[in-house]
Amino acid sequence: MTDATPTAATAPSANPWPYRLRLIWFIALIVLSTLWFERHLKAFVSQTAIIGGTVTLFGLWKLLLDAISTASREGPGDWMRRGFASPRATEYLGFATLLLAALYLCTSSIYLSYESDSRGAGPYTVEIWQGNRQLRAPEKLSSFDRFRGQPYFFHFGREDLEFRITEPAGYEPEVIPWRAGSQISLYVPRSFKPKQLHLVQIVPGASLIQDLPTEDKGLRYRLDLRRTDAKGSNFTATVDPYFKTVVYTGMSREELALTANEPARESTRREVQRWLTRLQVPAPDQAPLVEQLFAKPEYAAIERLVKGDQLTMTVSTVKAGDGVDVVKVIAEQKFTVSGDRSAAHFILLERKAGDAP
Amino acid sequence: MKRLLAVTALLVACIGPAGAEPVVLVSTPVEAPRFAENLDTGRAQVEKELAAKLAELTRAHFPVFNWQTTAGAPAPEAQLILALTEKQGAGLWSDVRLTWRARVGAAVLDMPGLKAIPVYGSLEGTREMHDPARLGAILEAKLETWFGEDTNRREFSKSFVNFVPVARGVRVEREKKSIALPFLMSTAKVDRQSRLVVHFVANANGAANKGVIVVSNLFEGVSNARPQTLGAVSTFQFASSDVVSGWSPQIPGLLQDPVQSWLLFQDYIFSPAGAVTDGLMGAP
Repeated sequence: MTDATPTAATAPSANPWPYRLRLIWFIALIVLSTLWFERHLKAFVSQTAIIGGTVTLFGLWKLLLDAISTASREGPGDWMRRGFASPRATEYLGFATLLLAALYLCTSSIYLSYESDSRGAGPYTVEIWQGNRQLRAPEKLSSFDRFRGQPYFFHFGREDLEFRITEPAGYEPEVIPWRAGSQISLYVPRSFKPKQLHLVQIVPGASLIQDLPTEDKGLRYRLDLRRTDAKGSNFTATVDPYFKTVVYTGMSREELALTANEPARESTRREVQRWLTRLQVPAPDQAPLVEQLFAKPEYAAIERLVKGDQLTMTVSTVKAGDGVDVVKVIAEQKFTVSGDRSAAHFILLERKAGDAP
Repeated sequence: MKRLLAVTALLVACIGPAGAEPVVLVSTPVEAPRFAENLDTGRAQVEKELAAKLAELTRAHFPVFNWQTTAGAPAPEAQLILALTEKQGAGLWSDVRLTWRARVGAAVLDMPGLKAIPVYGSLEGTREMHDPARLGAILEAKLETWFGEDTNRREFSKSFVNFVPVARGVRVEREKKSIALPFLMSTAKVDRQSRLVVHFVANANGAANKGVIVVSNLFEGVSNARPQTLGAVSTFQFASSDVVSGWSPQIPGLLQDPVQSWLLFQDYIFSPAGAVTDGLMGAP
């Protein structure tokens, strides 16, 4: 009995199952930790999938070898087998499991990724609102700056976060619940539903443009806007005094501020120039007229127009009478929103037929 | 020259005007509908200021008349209207002009030669039609520029001034073989090279007979202690008779009472002091 007998530490275990179960446990921990890293820390720790995947594959490989009894023939140099066969391994794995479980329970993350169907679209500015305060500074994403976000540790409870694309306008806000362990990942702008925005550009037509003043002198003009929705309820706005200018309307003040921006005004300007060219007004005579129209555009906020809504535009002259203003309607036009996609609508407001002064 | 000095000395000795200048009532209505509507209460201001400017300019260039902007006594001989009008032009918008109209007595005076003063062309999209002060200034500048041109003043004289009686009750200076015109050259700033026409209706043997006497070579003189302008008869024509050059012994008889006579300019030449000028119409 002097034959070399393997020690307990080095001898292959007679029962391979503890080793196998611990190895499976280890693989599961690697997979779950890789997933945790991917969910919450991918912006900060790169290549976790490669490392985690490699370790997982190696573990699976060892499991496969054991299954076909190849590993059992390995000698004492198989450190991995020795390690996982040791009862101490359960302790380590148990601690790692508790740690991972704690990380899962205490970590949440918010990530925004740029993803647009339109080439070169953007940049997009996204605000994240937690109640009435912003969770973080507005994030700007573009085709070259595509990823923003961070993990949040020890965030417990459940609350709704509102994600708003503030620039460009035209997207509905997204409300997403935020709770411990959750991961919020939004694609900008793909995850946001496009808002139905109808920018109405009201330009005084040929029969009216001469009459409107450029300042508060002479006869006073007034523009009344009435939005009527499918249910028949009304919303009105008034431009008083109404000067010789372009009036932008069709949405709220905030939406107008973003939608009727410089590119939109430039687009209106080109439309006005095309209209004047169609009327055979020579370019040198167009310039001062266009300048007057765009010197001080008017923004008339109303409830947002949607498909089926009707906008009634009424122009009146207002003369000071004996204590009561004498109002005379000289133009009335109606516009019905037909499409359900965001669009800019160019409207030439003309005097009523036969209403020349 | 001697004659001129003698006339001047006589004038100094004589007191009292030869007679008030005939009144011409000027008005400048804003008739262009858009302008009238958009000026609102400012319309009256534009009309008043422009009329004052027109009176000032006509007074400066044609002081032979008393240009007034408001009606009063005496009754005006004529009415000059410069209306802001608009007419559909070749372009998108209307042509806006200052259009001349006139009445002499009760009769409408046709002035085809007096072209309207353009204000805005039918391609001009930017127009001042709300601010009375600004529109008034634009119109006044247009008017001033128009009166600044010699050809315009000549046409104005030919089309309007020549049809307004300068005086009525023309008499004859039999001894001097001259026509006595009841106005003062120096006051009216009439150059002696100006030509006037006396129209008269004589009562010849119970029948009304019309005639004309063209008066030239004007000079100031005094007759019956009354300062007046005297003029030589250039031509004379009575009823359908032939034209007679120079003085005719018939003239005193024809211009005796009762007779209607009135004086019109045929060629008005402005002179700041009634002296001979270079022949330009009106003040520079």
